Amino acid sequence: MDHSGSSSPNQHTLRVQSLFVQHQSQLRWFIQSLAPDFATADDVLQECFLTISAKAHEFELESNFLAWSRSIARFKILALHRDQSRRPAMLSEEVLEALILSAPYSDSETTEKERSAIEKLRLCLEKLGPAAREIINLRYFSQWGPSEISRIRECSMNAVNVTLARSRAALRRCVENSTSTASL
Amino acid sequence: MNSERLGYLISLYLDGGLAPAEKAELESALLSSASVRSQFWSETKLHEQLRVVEQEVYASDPPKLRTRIVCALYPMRHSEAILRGSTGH
Repeated sequence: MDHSGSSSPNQHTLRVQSLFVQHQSQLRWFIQSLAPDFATADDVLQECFLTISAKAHEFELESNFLAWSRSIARFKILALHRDQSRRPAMLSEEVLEALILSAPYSDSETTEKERSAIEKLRLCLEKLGPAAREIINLRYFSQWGPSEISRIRECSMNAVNVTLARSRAALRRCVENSTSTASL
Repeated sequence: MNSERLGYLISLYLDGGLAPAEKAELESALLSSASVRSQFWSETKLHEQLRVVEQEVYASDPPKLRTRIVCALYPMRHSEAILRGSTGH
């Protein structure tokens, strides 16, 4: 625990909270992958922030913040899994644990790489056809699920699911080959 | 399982649309191989980045935001009319 020198417990908490902000995107990715509903993932992230703030004194500033914050998120995700009503939308506990063990850690260039990937994705989105673009908008901006989107678009839920899957695959290919000029 | 099928199942999972048999198929694949788990994290990264991009684009562009809200609130044929200004909405 790093309460030595000029760092008071309050300053220590602020530094831990600033580490949370710095790693927020990585932590949200981790949580959202294991609890994919947007609102649920946001709730878990918020709860993590509260727990991290409350337990900040337990964290040594020289140690790995992402690993520590993920261990807190892991407990909250497994607690969610114990809630029967949420279980159908979540993977089994065995699979969750396997995924948690395999979750990648980004290197120190995270922010720069992240911005670059976001910029590539933004350009790739412009290449999507209008119908696919609209469905991606409804899913990620309006944050509606396939059933609501199918009602809005007056099409089948299967058509929405297929469009979302194909759009993601096309975006992935485009981002991976960002020099490509081919239209999606 | 080929990569395309896996991508489709992960896509369904991210949208809360897995049927029980598909969920079992995805879980079995995820437990079977490290490369499948690696693809899972790669697919979910795109999911996270799409959310970030969409929030940023429309937060910084109010006319686009209005279009999105209208399209989100009304079926396609009505939203087009609203955006052309031909109804009382």
